[in-house]
Amino acid sequence: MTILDSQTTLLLAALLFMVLPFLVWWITIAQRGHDVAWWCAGSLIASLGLLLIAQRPWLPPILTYHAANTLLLASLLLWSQSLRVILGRPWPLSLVLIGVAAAAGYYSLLHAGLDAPARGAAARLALGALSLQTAWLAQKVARASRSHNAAAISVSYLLLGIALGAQALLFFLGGDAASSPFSKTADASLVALATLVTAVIGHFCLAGLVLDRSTHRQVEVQLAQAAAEETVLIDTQLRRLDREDRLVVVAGSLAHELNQPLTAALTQSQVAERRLRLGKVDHAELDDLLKKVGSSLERASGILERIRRAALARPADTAPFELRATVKAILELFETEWHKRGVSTELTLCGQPVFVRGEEVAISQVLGNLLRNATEALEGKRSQRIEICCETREASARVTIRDHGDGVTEEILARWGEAFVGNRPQGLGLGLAISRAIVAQHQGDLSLVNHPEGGALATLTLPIAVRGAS
Amino acid sequence: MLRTVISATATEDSFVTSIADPASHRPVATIALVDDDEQICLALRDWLDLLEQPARYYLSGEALLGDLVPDCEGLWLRGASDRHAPLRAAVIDLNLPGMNGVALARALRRRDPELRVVVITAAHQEELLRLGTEGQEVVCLRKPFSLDLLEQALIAR
Repeated sequence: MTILDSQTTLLLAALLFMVLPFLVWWITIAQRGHDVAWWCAGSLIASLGLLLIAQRPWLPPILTYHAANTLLLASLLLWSQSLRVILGRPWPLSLVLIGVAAAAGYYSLLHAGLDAPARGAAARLALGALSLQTAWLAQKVARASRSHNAAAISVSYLLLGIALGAQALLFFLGGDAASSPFSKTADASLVALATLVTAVIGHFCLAGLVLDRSTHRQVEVQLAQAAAEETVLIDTQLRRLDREDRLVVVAGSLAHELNQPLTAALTQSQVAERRLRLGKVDHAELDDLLKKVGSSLERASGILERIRRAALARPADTAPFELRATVKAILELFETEWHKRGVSTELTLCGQPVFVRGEEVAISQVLGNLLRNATEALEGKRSQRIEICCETREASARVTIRDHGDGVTEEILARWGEAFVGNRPQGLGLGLAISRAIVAQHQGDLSLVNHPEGGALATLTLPIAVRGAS
Repeated sequence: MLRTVISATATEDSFVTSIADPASHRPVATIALVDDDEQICLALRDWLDLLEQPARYYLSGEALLGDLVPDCEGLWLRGASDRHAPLRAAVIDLNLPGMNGVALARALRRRDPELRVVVITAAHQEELLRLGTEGQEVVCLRKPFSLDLLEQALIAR
């Protein structure tokens, strides 16, 4: 039993409790926070307590008993607090101070009511209980962070708690008066050894735990960054895809549309040519014919301009623009199609200009997507109506689009805004996801609900940039 | 069978003499123009005016069918009092709102199998076939087209 000489072991533990905190403090220089501070403070206090206990033959009992035991109880409270910080549920400072005061009060109470050995046993019982609490908290940390370091801390404090508890229990069972910290008995040696183990494992594992957690945090931050970058990348790809998708559709339908004014212009010019050839023309008629050709060609160039605006969107274009004009322009694009499908529209615009800031082309794209969805929802339906409304509400502008189709399915509502969702049979269905991304970039909101009287109701909300003079 | 006229030569004179009959007391045969683009209709009517060929234009197939005199032999367009005009030929845009050009052509041919029909379209021929023009002899012109070709299509059988 000589190697387990309790006094030497306790002194060694006191020394470790004094030195190791500084080591931990230094190791965790870049990562330490309140957790390390509480832990090291606890260790220094424990070291002081143990040193005071070792001075029992020479110093007055008020220091070596009262103060020493209070310090030891306080140190366990501080270690617990450190673990609570790691768990993210620290006690407020006042509660910690009350705990320390309670520890002091507890020992004074023992001193008043019990004889020396019983006091010692009761003090050990309290120390053991607090050790077990520390072990329990460390176990929670271990489970939460899946950390072996925390598990080791838990085991060492469990050992200490059991050793202290066993010593107290032995006293209460056998009334062994010789049970002092310096006894050469197995129980005292066990406590001393457990203290030593706790000192070593506690510090190194805490340093490891803090470093691990910091690494985890860094990895998490990096993962979050990577995820954010990926989101941006996917977003860009989605927008490009949608643009390509749109280009194909736009090219197909507008090439067709372009044919109309070109046919008109060519026919008109051929009529003019024939009139000239037959001599059946005067100046006024010729002027009229040329004007007709000109206006048809203007129609054609207007369509080309629309293609250019829709397909070659410039992303960096963020100036205030008038939302009602944007709405009217996009409605024009749909006019031919609605006319063909027999869709009737009802447009309500507020009286004064509504200016919003951002990329007009992108917002047009959102409106276009919503109108396309509304149009396609009407296919084969009895009521071929779309109601569009542009209004202001406090500091925001709102565009609502309501169709009289079947409304939005539960699945769409639940997964609203995710990529690749859409109840259109044709197309990639990316429209809604992209629309949401665009609106989010404009600090706006896009909602899609079922109208209480049937059909889908889409609401685009954007912050007003400059309120134009009415 | 679908026939696409790709080249043709016709003189205006032959066309004019073949249809204009100002001396006759019979009502003058009329050509129906059906296209949802009014500018095209107006331009074609100008051209037919030049040829002294009466024409009426309609922006949809339904409008033309609504203008036909019901319950009579052949195809007659409503006129003031008794002066109904026989329908001589129809120039029909394929891509019409509501009833499409092929359906209109079929409806007209059911009442007069000899009616001359010219379909004008921006669509490719394959699309035309898919729309179910098989079994019908329809002359098809791609937009934009030359008036010479249209003239040829309206007189040639």
